Amino acid sequence: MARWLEMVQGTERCLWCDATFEGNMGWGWVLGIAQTTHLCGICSGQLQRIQELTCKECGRPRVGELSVEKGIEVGKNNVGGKKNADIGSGSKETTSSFPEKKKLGVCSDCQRWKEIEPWNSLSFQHRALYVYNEFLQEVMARLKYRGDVQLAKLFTDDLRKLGRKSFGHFDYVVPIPLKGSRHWERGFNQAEALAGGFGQVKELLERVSMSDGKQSKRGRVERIESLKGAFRVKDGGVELKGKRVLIVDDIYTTGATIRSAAAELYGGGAAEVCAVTVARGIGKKAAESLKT
Amino acid sequence: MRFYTLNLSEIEYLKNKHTHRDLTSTNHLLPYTTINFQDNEVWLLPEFPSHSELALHPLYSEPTIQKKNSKTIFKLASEGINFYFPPPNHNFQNNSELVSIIKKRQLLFDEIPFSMEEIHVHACHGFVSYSPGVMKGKEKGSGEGGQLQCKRCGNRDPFLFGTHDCYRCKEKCTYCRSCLMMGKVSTCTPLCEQRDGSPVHEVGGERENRPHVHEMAWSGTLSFFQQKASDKLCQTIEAFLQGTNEKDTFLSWAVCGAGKTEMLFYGIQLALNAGLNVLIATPRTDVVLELEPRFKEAFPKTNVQALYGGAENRFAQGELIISTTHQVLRFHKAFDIVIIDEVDAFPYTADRKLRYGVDKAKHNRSLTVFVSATPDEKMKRAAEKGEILSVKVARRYHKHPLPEPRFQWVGQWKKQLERKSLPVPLRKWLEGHLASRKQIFLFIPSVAIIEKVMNALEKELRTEIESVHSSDPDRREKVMQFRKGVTRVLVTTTILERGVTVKDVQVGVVGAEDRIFTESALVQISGRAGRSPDCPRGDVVFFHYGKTEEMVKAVRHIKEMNKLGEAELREERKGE
Repeated sequence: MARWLEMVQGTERCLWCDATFEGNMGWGWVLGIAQTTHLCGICSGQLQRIQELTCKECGRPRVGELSVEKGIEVGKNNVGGKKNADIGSGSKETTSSFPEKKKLGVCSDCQRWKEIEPWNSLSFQHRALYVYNEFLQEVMARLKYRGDVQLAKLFTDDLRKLGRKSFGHFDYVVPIPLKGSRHWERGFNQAEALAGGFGQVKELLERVSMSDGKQSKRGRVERIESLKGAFRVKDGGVELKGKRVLIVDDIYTTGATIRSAAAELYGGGAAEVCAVTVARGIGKKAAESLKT
Repeated sequence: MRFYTLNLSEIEYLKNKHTHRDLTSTNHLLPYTTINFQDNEVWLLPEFPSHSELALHPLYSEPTIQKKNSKTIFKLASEGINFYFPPPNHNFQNNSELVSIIKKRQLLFDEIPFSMEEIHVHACHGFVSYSPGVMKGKEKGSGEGGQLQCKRCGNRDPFLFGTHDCYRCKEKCTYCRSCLMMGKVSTCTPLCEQRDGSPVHEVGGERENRPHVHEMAWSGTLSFFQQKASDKLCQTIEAFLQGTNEKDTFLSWAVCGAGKTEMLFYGIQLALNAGLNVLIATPRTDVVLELEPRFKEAFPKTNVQALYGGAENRFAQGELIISTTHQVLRFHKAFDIVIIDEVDAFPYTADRKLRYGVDKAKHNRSLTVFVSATPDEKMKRAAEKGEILSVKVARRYHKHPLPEPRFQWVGQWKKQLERKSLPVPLRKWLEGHLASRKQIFLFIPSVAIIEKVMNALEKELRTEIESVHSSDPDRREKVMQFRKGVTRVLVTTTILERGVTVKDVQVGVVGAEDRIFTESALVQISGRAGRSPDCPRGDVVFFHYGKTEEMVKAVRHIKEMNKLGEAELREERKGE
């Protein structure tokens, strides 16, 4: 009852800071077409929605002229001198925001993936909602490590829309699974919670091996190494042959985790595998330039 | 997590069977004794996670258990089932660290740095008991079954609960978002506590016979006013020890700068020497950090522990505990005397949390002491009616009256700020004090306008200006710079309204008409001025766009206190 009154009066409570704020309760809400907001103006203003891209595969965001000039630090173990060239040229071709034009280039990271099996013959695309900035890091930490699963609500609707808009229809939506002990430790799987907006969620994968330690503490090469054979398509699951599958996860940093899962799904017969995440890591330097 | 429930005959059956098979070691998940096991009680056997070795424990393959459904502790408690916990087994080689951590506390499995198995074994031997972390309330009018309440922090706000599919209990699980940062309490979470019925410690005894281990090293002298309050507190504590105190709540209403910490010293010493456990609770970490060295210095032979988020050892045990609201929530039936410093220092919800925490942290028989410059209406009325014991300290320790605030109308100051300019009276006031080398505290109503205020100030004044707000990471550093005198003007939200003492500071409140500036906030803010005996005067101005009831009440409050102080001062002179 109190909740209903709040709605009518247009006062919502921010899911992040708990401040009350005026919701956007116009006719759109009455007709059920406007979305309810979960964040107050101040908090939602701290999220940086990804608008323009510089890579059509991994969906690397363009983070402003300044950061392009300074150069984006592409993963810790980046080798080869032409890391900025691709990003620069890619970004020049983009003139409009979503839906992006087909002219988009491919970043050096994705180029390097294309030299490794099985990515020399398979396609992979990923899109994220937001830049993984300081604010979002706090949000994700509270969601994952403190277990405030309610925060997944902030993203579930938008993730579904992003998936639709970027890649069209999917047969299955697959959250990245957690290892049993980690799953118990957390009590939930954040990827599963984030996929809550999709109707066709299927837990097709399971985690078979993972060396100790968290992914977030590793560099690029270490990540790729540690993830070899990390996932397996579950036995007695659904028929994957010819199906389009969308992977959902929380954060995309180097893409190693998601690509490892995608490779497994391709191995199981999937026709196409794409991925959406909430947050896109953009490297330390770029993030710092964003702050100023 | 989930539990299997076993009744007395099932436990006996399992124990016999396993003993016959010479598998005594596997009985370690069952209570060591079943003495006093009531008919309506059950024993809780945790269902261990499938990835743990214990999931394969022979007990779990027993038909007795196999045919049962495990349940969450919330469900079991909601069904009105009582749990059995044996009395402590003194022949058991307990883990002293675990026992010490859990002593007088209520903790989550996840918080205790030992395995689930080890904790449960201590439950089997009577050192630990479990209770549900979330329960349905039983109060009237709360609808069917009542609304949920977090048993750790007392939260009942439906918005501050979340629900998700839980991997631990394989059900939809509801968790408390209000105290989430201290670890997650959900419907499938048991709180582990020291088993009830541990020997009650003896308190009191004749004054002469008490050991005098808690020496006090403080050698200052209490002012006439402080002495009066200190004596009254000591009398109350003495009466509490004799079991003759009429009320169990004591209010010390002392103006800002009265020297309230010193007024507590004698009472605390008395309580400690009588073997009482004393807690000083306050909503702010800043205050804990400020009090810790003062109490450690005053009581050099006492184990004084300060508990706050980020403290070195958050499970430390001590004779005198100084704790933030949050850390208080981890205690359970631990204290005889609870001193609450500046109860009203936080908005209502945080205040309610502190009250809940304090209630839980107290022994059944206890004494609560409130120390405040601005007690709320309810408490003031209770004091007037004599429903609680109280003492008023109307004068600062340096005997000078409190600076009385002035009102200054500044029109539409927000619009002026938009144009990057300051209202003329405000600018002149600032310039005047800066010219006479005074430092200025400038209070503003919200974080949102900090930047605008700073822009206008920086444009119009040539001096060192800084701003702070509650979530400012450099907060401490900035306050330090102001204390040192490097910063001349400090713009702040209401975070600095209490506790911060800077010599000879002038105080301005911009937008004093804002809702956030309640009577008590304004009284506290005004109390920042004139605190030093060298500069007992101070200028306090409320810059406003329309006087509010709260502003008027604040000034009335201060004037009344000054009048009362005047009368007491006369009394003192008479006494001499």
